[in-house]
Amino acid sequence: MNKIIIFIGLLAFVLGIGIARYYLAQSSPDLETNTDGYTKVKVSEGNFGGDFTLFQGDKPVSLSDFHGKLVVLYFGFASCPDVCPTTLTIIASALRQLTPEELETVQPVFISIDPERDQGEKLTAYATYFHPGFIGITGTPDEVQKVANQYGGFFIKVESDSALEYLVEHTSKTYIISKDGQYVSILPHDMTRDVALNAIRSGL
Amino acid sequence: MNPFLRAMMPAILLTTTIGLYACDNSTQTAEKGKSPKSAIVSTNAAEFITVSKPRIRATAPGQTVSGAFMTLVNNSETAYALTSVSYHGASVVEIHETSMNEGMMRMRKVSQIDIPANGSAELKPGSYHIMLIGLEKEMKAGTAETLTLTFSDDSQKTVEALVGTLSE
Repeated sequence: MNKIIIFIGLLAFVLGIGIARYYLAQSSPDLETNTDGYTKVKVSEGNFGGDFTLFQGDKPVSLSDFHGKLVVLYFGFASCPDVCPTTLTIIASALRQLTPEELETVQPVFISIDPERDQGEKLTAYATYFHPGFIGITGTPDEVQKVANQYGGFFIKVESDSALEYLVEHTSKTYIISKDGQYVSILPHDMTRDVALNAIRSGL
Repeated sequence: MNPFLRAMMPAILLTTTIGLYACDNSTQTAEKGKSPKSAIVSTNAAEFITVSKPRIRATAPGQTVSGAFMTLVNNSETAYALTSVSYHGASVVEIHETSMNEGMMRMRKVSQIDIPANGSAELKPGSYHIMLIGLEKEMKAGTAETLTLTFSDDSQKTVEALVGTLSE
């Protein structure tokens, strides 16, 4: 049973990579690899990036609500003990380098890909712990997966012999969406604070 | 060569071989005896292994899992392993490994972390870590918690792990 689930998960993963490569290849004329350690991609509605709506508790929150602000987007989950806090700490640390004026034009967004465990207050408390500016949003597993795929992110729930019952395998990239919503800078998991800071500042 | 010697040859060779082997063996024993580590008090993994930088990641409010990290240095000729960890403030403690494959972060439960002879094992973000599951309280930066490590020879060691944000 376990093996079948892992197999299906792997299959989904491989398919996902294939789909992402296809989409990224399609948008390749607009793909610009920045020497500063990240990649900037033009939004291609229906192919890559673009608007979405998820929920903060019962309240719908759309990416387009933040038009005019630079959005720093990260997908993760609260029971992720290692990878997510590492990246969120780097993002938060970069945000703390900004002046209050700069910070006013930046909206950090944390999307939980584990809505079964992360809901409402708990999600807000988790996200704002790293930086008070964060908002934490989520949706149904399908909705969240759809948004993740839209940005080239993948998540697979894998059954485990751990007391956690299931573990989530996931990508760990940070997406910085330009103020006009037209470009997305994709930052790798192993980005430094300065790479994140440069990517944020260059979009202000 | 006379027939007697020819007949005795195998026996002579055999005796010489055994003799050499015995000599060789005794030197090894002598060398072992000379080894300072086995002569001194340390007799088990808990005494041979030193732990540096034990730390626990501070938790966000409501977060009931966290990771503990440290470096384990094995100062002995024997390979050991970290086989389990206990912490009174967690319902379950497991050993996990995070790995990255094609951009995908994966976490899995492992049964132990090997600490090679005269080597070390590093528990750090993005690699091996101790998973504290079902935390009874928030892990607040600046506090310290006691973890009990159990090694492959069943010896145990307690360490004081500092709680921190583990940022740069």
